[in-house]
Amino acid sequence: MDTFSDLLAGFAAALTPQNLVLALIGCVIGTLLGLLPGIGSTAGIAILIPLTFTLDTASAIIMLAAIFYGTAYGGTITSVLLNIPGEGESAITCIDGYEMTKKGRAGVALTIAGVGSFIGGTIATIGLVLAAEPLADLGLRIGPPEFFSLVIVGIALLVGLIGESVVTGLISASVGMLIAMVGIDPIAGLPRFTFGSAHLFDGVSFVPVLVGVFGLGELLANAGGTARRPSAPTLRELLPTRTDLRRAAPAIGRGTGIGFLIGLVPGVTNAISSLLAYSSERKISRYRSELGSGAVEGVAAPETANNAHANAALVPLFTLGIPTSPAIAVLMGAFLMNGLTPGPRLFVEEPLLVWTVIASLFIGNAILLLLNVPLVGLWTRLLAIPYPVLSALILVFIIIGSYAINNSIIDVYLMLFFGVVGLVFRRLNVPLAPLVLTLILGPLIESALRQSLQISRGDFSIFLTRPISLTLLIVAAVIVVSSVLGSRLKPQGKADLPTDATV
Amino acid sequence: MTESQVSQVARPTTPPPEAGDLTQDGARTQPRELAAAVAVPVLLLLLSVCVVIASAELGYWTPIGPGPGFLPLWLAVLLGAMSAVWLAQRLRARPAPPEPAEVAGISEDRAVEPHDEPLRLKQVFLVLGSLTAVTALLEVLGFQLAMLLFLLFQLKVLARRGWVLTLTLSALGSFGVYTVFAGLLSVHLPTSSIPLLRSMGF
Amino acid sequence: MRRLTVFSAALALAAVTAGCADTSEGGGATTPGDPADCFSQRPIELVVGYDAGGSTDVGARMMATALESKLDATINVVNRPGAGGQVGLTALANAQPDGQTMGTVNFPSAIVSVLDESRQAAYDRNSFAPIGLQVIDPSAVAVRPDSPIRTPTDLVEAALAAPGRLQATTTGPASNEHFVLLELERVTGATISPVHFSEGGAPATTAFLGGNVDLLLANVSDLTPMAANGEVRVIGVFGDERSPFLPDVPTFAEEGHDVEVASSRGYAFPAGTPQECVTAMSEAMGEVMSDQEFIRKMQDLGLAPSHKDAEAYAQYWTESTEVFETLLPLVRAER
Repeated sequence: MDTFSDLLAGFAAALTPQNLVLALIGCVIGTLLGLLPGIGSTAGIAILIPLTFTLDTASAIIMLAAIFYGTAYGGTITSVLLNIPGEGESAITCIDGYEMTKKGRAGVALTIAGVGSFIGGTIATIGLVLAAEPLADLGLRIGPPEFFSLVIVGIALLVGLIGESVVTGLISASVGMLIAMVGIDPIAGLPRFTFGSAHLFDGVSFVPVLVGVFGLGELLANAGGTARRPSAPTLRELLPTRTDLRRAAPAIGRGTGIGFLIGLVPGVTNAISSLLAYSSERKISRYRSELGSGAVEGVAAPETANNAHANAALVPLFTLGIPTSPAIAVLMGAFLMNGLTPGPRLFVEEPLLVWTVIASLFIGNAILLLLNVPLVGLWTRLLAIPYPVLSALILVFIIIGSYAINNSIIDVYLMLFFGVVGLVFRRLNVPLAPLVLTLILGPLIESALRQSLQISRGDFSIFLTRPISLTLLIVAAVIVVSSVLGSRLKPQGKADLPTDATV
Repeated sequence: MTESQVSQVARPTTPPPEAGDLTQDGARTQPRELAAAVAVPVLLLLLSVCVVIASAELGYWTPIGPGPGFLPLWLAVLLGAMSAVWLAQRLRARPAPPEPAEVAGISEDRAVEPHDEPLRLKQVFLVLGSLTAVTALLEVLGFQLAMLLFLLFQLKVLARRGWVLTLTLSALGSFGVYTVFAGLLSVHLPTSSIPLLRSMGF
Repeated sequence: MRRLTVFSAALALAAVTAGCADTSEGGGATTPGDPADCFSQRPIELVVGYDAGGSTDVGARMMATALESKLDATINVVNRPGAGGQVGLTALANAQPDGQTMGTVNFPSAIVSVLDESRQAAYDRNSFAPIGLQVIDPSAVAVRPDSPIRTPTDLVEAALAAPGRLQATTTGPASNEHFVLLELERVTGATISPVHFSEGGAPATTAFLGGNVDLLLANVSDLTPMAANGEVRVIGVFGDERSPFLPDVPTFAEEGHDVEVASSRGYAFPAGTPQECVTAMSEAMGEVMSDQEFIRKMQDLGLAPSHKDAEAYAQYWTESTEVFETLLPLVRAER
């Protein structure tokens, strides 16, 4: 088998002692950087690239892959332990991850996130190895109309996120989408709700909003000590139980599928994958009623999806030469540096390099798992710091994080404002999950709708005449109808189940 | 199979009390919370009216589909409607002026609450105030000095820690963090706008 | 421009590191009254109005490194991204005009943000003292390899035969690509409908490769690697001469359709900066841009070198402003 022997050669090139040490270093540095909100995998890699310049191509790529996985996992750590999302993609993990931490199950959450990321990333890489070409064609089938319908599926899943309180859920969702409306609109190119500030022309940055609503909101709610604070888990509580694993497995499976398929579409970020994975769990998981109150599925699904997405996003790079995310563009740059142009011909002309990169992805995933799971115990010791001291240090980090995303003080003020919003929402039991979903998906609806209509010259039937789009719209309709029917049936049979806890 | 299901259900059905429960109780018993519960829907209602007015100017429809004002308009209408319903719910849930039975119930809590609740709000304002101050100072004094003052305040005044811990952590959190992130990892952090401080490297 | 992004920043960053070493080794004394005195007291801040790792950032970091050794100064690159460069330009316009702050200036956004009153720019042309130009990256148009359209004239004729039938990607209303379509219509009468992808090049490329849009409009530097892969066929460049990256592709002007639209990247001080500082910086930049090694490095990264000194750049600024003044009403008409 040709592919297999190519891959083996790639592994041979990637698996030297020097490369393994570099992968370890990259993973540690990446994790440390990822702990800082605002410095996600993209910025982390941009900052650390000079470190890799003295290395040969394979070593540099391996180290970069390790940094990439490390930063992504660093964001997960702060989401779970401190309720501070590092990037859009780990925002939704805050919800159940932090609830688990409050119950003393932080170690389980972090371990499951690590395992899920490994599985999602590995399966997506296998997909890349086996069927890059057909998969790339699949990705190209998602044009603007299909993308619009996909976002509609995401919005339909909102019904599941809203839970019991329809009124506050819809308030949260509409506030999130209204925030997303700020900026230069995608239709006429006019500033909308920007109050004349050029800082708002690109819209409100996600990170300050999310850090404010989750991180600062939580700190303020805890300021006087009425709310329950997380405690450091004991050693025994670090490891997932068999029940945890059994429950996480299907969520990891679904997360892999969602992340992989959406990752094939160039130009779609992993935040969307993790949101859709979480929302799907709220809709179809057997334990959906527990989501929001610290269910392991709520961590497993989004974390798996976002890593599967990140790896699947390499398919468009290798087959079409389109870097779908800045992190992927880094790898592309490593090719350019060697005078190679990423694209279909690369597999033919420089097979060893391509397969070394692919092998390094497997290695990066494995190192992440091997390094971080044993370190989970160490990370959770953070919680042993007395809360007043810990909260002071967290405040320093959320200020840096909000500032660093755009080097702008205005973003820090935005973060403070949304901290107050987060506090008020918490006190009044308004759920936060719908806000995150619409904040991130919101802007895409308008652009995709407008692009579709420009392509069809104003004919709305474009959404129904294209098979993939039609299928997605039917899925969305089924989700909404079944939710409405399901909620009508719910009160009778399942009255004694715990209700959807608001976040 | 059944065994595992039992254990799966067992865990979440007996969760320890959570923040949500506390706030719900708070909403019922605290007048301040009640005021907020009414004020927030009213504010949201006002916001939605403003957005409706602003969207109207943006253009509702164009020859090939929705204009820039279309989506915000309907979102604001949704927000306004939901806020109105919420407000009605809150007003209906508002308890009548203290009846004898309830007074008894509240006075029992009072042993803890009167100290706890005002302090809590004070703490929130202290945290928010100090955050606003440090944000305003970041580009005046530079990251290190502003953060040093902030941490001294947080650790000494709010957290009431000893001097050794306060000074160590404050220095690490300001100068230490700056050295690591700005020095080693080339993350840009705010610098002072005062020429003298600037020339000293802040 | 996404192609370069982060990695290339790294190249530049690495170069910066190397540059720092150079400076410390070669650090000599400057005589008082020397024009270099403008820059030797404390670090110069170079405001880049785009994200770290973007192609503007990459070019700026390369330039910063090279200028450091020429001027024996320290230059710190500070990214102030937002609003297509408007945030960075606002910061630059408001900076002290003492020679210690310079910034990147990208056309057309620096011009359009001034002309389009809805952007409420806090600066205008007179807020800046131009230093020099580094990059001109013309727009170009590509079709799928199996398309019957092969030359600029083919395209114009096809568009004239069925007005509005052909569709082309842009990176948003009032973007470079949008101006190409408007200018093409103004000059030749050929109407091509835009499909705006405000999120940037990747979704536009996907929609084009997926067969949803007929024409892919982008900068030459974006199209070059795809053309090398055979995924697209570039049929014409909107420049005054052929691109060195695509020597076989004719310009539209060659075939009598005089449409020239390009993005360009240069540098400016805030207005009021002492003339000798502007001159010194401009001369240093001229020396950098005549260094063959520097030019080769830029080309490796897909940046098309094109130098203009302070005076020529100021003139280019004025000319470009006139062009966009005629086009902007057409954008407004579509709103």
